[in-house]
Amino acid sequence: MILETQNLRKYFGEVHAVDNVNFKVKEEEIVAIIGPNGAGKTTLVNVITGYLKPDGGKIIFMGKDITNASIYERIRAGIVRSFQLVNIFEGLSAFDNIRVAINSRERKEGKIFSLIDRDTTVTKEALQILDLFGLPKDTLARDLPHGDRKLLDVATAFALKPKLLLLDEPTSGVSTREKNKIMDVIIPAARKEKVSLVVIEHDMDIVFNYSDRIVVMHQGKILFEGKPDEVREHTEVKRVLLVG
Amino acid sequence: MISRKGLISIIRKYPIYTLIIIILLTLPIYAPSFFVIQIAYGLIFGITGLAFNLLLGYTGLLSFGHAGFFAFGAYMMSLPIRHTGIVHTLEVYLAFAFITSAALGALLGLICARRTRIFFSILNLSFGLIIYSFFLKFWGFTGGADGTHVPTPPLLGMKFAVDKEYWMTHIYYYYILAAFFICLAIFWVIVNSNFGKTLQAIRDNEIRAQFTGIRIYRYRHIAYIISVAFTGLAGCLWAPLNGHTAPEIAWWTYSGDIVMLTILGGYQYFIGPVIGGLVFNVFKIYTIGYTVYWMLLLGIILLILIFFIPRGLVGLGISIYNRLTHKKGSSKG
Repeated sequence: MILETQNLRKYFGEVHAVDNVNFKVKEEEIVAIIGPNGAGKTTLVNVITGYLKPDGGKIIFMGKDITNASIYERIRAGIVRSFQLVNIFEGLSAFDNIRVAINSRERKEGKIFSLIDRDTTVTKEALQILDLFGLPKDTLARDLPHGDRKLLDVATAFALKPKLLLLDEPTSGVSTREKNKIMDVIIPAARKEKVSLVVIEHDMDIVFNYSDRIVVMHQGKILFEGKPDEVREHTEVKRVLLVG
Repeated sequence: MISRKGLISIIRKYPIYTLIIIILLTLPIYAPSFFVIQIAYGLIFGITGLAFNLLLGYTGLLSFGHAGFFAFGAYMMSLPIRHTGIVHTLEVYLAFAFITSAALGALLGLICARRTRIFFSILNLSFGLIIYSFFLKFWGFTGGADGTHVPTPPLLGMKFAVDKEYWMTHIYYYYILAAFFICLAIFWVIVNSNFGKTLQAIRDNEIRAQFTGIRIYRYRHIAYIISVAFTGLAGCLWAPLNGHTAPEIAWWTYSGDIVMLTILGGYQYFIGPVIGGLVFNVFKIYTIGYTVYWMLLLGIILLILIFFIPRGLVGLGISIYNRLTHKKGSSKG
């Protein structure tokens, strides 16, 4: 098990956004989290990645308790995320977005007298990642089409060489054709790099086609979890997803 | 060493910068003394602008207190002289101003680096005003509103038996020019380094930077220390040129000048604050000579810049250059 939460809780006043959740991810597994709006999916990811502090419970990552670890410590441990809304360095080129991430991973980000263009190792790796995700090198991030911006967001996360990557709606706001294109890039890359993947997604075609296991959340709790076929046949899940 | 071929290729690639460098190097030969001195001031403001723009252009932090740090650097030369009566070579004061300004930046940065936007600006404005008040009110120590006289110091350990005007327009001018080129090279390396890109990443998206494993407060703090240290250094270079330090150089309107010269030159460009520093100072001095309404003129020019040329003079120059070269291309068919 790479990640395990034990009775994880996050409350916002009366709202129990994450309510005693025991969520598990195996190594190299691709897990989708689904559920209606307000089910607590993003809050769960926010708590796991350190964006929010939990009100109770434990987070165990690779056998270590990281419940009180900082965002920085979690990233160094190998937990990386992308956001629901595109979160990239808009004024930098796609190439520089990746280079900044690689530098951070290699702990070279603070070198004042080391010219970034002179680092051929980082340059080579950044170009490989851009190639893997089919992204242009010199275009400013802000000038990329929406689908490419989503990809760049994920590519930046990949550059950190995560052990666990949590993607919050990686295909939101793009056309159906582009959704598949994005997932066809992300999933093989994750398999190749042996990254465990947690994907929050609303598009059921994407969820059923690309995940190994699906976790259904409702009102802050895990309603059901199982293989795509098991989830598809589950009556309570169908009711919740249809009614919301 | 750059080969002759390499030098020619650089000149061909950057003809305008080459021209500016030649003009700066030869200026004392043909230009009137007054103009040379104004360019010397402009070069010092250029260093200030570079330091200021590390925060504004590269880290996304607008400071309204840099005049305070500039004054602090200037006083780090005048105060030791005032209290000891001994005049050391200028490098001693430059090193002292640089170190003490860096220490000041490290101290204030503990608070400032954790704030952004208006909070950062106002905090710096407040610190600038505290520095101003200190120099104004502790008159026994600082000379108060009268300020403190700055004698002509030896340079590189050498005393020059020349009159003050010749010292300012030739000897000290070239000293400032050398210091300016060194600072320019240092800042060029900083903004093109891993650290420089990290700052730009923080500027663009703080949350993404944080989730990329970048310790944003640490790097903002370092940028702040560098900026304050070099602003202090510029202040120390300014002190012997002016011959006198007074509290009004820490007043907030001078911080406004630093903001203005950076915007005038173009904060999106590395060289923008340098061009802004040179043009702003020359413009200010000459318009003061012609009209008492020089601030009105400056205000109008800034309004024009903000509304019509938001990328500043360098941006305007690049647009004109691109248009001219495009025309050439089209005439060729």
